[in-house]
Amino acid sequence: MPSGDVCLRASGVSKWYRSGSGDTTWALRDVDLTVMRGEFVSLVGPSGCGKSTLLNCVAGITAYDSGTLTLDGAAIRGPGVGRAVVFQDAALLPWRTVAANVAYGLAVQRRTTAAQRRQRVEALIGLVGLTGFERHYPAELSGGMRQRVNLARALATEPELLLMDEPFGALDALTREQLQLELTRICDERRCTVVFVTHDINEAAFLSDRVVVMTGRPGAVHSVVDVPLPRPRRPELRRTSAFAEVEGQLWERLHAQAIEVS
Amino acid sequence: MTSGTVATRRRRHTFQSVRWRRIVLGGGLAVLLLLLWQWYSSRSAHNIFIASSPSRSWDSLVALVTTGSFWSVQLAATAQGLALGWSCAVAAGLLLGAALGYVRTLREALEPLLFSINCVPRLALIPLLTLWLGYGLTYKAVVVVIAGFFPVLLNTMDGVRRADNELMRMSRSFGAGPVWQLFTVALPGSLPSVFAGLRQSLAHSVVGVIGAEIWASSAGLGWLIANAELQVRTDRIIATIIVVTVVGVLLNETLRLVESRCTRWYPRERR
Repeated sequence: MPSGDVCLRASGVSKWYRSGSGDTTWALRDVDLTVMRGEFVSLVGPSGCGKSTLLNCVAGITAYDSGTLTLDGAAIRGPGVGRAVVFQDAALLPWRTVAANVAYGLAVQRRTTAAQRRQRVEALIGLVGLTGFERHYPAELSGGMRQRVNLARALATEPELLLMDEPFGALDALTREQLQLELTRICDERRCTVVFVTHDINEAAFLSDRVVVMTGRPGAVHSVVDVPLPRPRRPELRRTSAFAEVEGQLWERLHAQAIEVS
Repeated sequence: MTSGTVATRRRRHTFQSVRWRRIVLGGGLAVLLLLLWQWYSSRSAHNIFIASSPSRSWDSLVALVTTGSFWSVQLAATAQGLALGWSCAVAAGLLLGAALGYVRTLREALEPLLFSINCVPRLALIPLLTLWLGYGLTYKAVVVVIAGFFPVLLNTMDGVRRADNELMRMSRSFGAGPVWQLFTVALPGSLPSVFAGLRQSLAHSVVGVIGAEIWASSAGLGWLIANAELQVRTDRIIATIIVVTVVGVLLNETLRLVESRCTRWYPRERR
């Protein structure tokens, strides 16, 4: 559980685009958000609400136009070793084997020796349940397995903050639930701090400590819902009334804004 | 699993029968043409003088490849020109192609010039090159470079330029700079395209070296052809052409082997 110190803080973060005719489109407008260390925070909202943009700003691969975004008090000005992204479409290098893909982030960051890297890669492949597939190429894996590699690659760099961009959105329901379960297990084990983008209410409720509901056009924070469900999260949790209540709250807030928009 | 095996078996079965049909039909046609050729040349002395015959060409081929100097002088001369020229063409094409594919400003500055140069008919440059360089190894190599450079350049450029955007973003998210992104994402991703360029380049280079030798040389397979022409030895010309073809096929197959080794990761359906 959160130990009380702030990991990520966004205040007044905005991002806009100028169209050809000179109009300004706000992708994000005055977003305030605080993520405590060890906390699992989900961003939910309709498509186009800027949740992925916010995640990319935090990752440092998209520049924001105003406001401040700090990680451990230091302003985010680009990619950094403290953060790792789990991508929506796995983004695995097709010419690298599973093991080499998991090692990629570590190799780029050059903070480890080859021996350390090998050891860490082996451990992570075990952690995500892909032992025996080390020498397979991504084309030989299922969608779920690719996302496991994607997750292992991010975890290998031992990030302070794990950024996940709808990683399970394209998977079938059964695989998705399985991976959600393993993700909460891994996060509990490693006390990860996670920002998780999704549009799936059930997923957000199951995984998170807090859920940030966002609105679209301009992308902004609508409200924050606390998820007072016990950890570790188990599959049976989904059928409890407490879970249904959280889900109901999220549903109401998302639909409230859908009505506001129309 | 089971259905997969059955499908594979069925495919193999069809493949085999298709292969048999090909051997019978294709091979049969080849034999028929050879017989026609033999028959035509046997009809008169004039015919055999102009068209030679399969048996004469075969005798000539055997005589050619059983001569020691064929390997140590003629084939060696051609191989030298081809090897030197092709490696220069490949090195230059890869370097410049990667640079142009990756750096937009460079591409915009050089593309018009390169495209215009690419339109110059290569053969028309040969007389100019003999004037400048004589007819030694340098001349041959330069002709080969001119023939083989552009396929490598254009395909490498295209491959690097179309680097997967999502993978580039992924690489950057881990803190990779442009050089790392180039070497770990853009270049490996361009391999299928690069190999297409290499194969095309190799074919053009073989044509280039033979052409250069036919025009001006003192040794080589092309020289053998030119020399046989002076002596009106159709059989020797044909024999040498067969040798050139075999060399070309062998080189191409070797390259294919290297390619399949290097691109094992590439999804099979896109090969």
